[in-house]
Amino acid sequence: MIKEYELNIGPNHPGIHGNFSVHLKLEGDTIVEAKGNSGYLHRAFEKLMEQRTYLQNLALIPRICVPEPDINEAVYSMAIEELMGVEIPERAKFIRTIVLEAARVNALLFHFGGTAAMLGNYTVNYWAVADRDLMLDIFLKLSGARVYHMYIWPGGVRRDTYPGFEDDVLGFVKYMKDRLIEYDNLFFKNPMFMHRAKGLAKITKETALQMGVTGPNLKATGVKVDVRKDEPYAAYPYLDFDIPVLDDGDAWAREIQRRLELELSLNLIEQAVKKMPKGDVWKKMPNPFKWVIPEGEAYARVESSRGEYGFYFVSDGTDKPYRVSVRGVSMPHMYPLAEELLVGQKLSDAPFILETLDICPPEIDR
Amino acid sequence: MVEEIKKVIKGEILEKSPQRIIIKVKNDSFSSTLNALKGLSFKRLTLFTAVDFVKDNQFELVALVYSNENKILAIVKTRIPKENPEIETITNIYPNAFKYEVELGEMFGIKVIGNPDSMKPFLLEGWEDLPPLRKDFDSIKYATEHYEARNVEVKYD
Repeated sequence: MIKEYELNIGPNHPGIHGNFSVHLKLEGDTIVEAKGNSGYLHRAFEKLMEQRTYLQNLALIPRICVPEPDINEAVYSMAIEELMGVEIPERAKFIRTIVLEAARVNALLFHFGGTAAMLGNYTVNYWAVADRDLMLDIFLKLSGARVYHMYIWPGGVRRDTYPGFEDDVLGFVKYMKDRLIEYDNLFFKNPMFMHRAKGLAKITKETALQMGVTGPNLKATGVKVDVRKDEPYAAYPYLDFDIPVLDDGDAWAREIQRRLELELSLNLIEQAVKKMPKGDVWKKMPNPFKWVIPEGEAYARVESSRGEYGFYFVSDGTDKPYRVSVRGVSMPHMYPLAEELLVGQKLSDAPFILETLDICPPEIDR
Repeated sequence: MVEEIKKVIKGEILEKSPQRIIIKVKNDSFSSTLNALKGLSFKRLTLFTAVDFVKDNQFELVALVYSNENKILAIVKTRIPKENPEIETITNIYPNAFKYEVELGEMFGIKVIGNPDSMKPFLLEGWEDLPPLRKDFDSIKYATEHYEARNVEVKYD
């Protein structure tokens, strides 16, 4: 007779970007119960933001999501612009789009590296991290920082692009498009990946909709929901694109969905660079050290690489936010989706399943 | 859409923009409002949180529900008193509200009836002070009382 036993994975978890642990109950190597255990990464962002001025917060918020920091700056700025009634210059909209899409490419590359590593294919991991670095170099030249850019800010972006920015970005896009073929051959068409991922941890459309799932996890079940189309922000209304969707809803579909989104992002960057107008990049606002935001509340949202990301923002008319509530994408993906998906799976698949859901713990411990 | 909502929901309904509707209701009709909205295609709970209005001595509960079909976000709000705050669970309507409710219990001290985990530590184990996201909790005072200052000498050459 097989006895039930408990196993903790984490907090340095192999299948998640950050400190997070999962308590498993196992029978043999089959999972009978899974419980997420968060809190290892809690830095009280929401409380800290209430104690800092609007400008000081700009340095804090990119830290909420490490692999894709720019979405935080974008939603923060969009919420403030909505409350102040500011329309940002056209050029700034395009630059924002390029930065956000490049950040998505970076986050997805990071993600593919992690997923492949969960299956023992470490080459993809090394490739992805090295390719991501090429974009980080461009970010360094653009904003002065590699990972946390603090480049998008209320009213537009912090400064104009440097001479040669367009060529650098287009060069990166061309390189990545060629490189994608190699990624396909090594990983996405790899029989090892197909055998492991096909039919694994399948989510149905109904479950996904009921549990508040968004992003590639939802699109892989055949639901076409994307903030870039549904409530266009930045320069997305000017760009010509269609959202890819798949029907299977299993681990394979989730990964292929992300691969299609990576291709879409590269196309969007290309379009945005070519259509970018000349002009101002910042709608001049009074002294940033003394920003006072009118009373009111706003909810700003963007499509991150994992799904709908947003800030619910309340201002009481002072120089500090009254309350900011972060809508972390990974919250519904972990609780309750992952907890239910893991039941009945094999232990060796658990890190891979968690990785295909792309759970980012700082979005839960915020 | 606003007209349809007005037919089924009693409360203050404001169309802020074509994609944002703000609905203010009394606290006893909060869950019935959400139930009615779910029937009107608002099937996804995007966020469930609270705001501490310390001047009014009230919490404002905020539920953001989204309709994929109509692409509208409804912000449903209600106020509850700050003394012995209690609400009823909405997990029977939106299952993913479970951990948001646990967070309300832990961060604001709001008891959620019907949620067995609501007062258990979710993020902060062994916390005994005021719930930390309340406005009257002073984090700087807490830090100075519980932790020693580090004596770091900074030298500028």
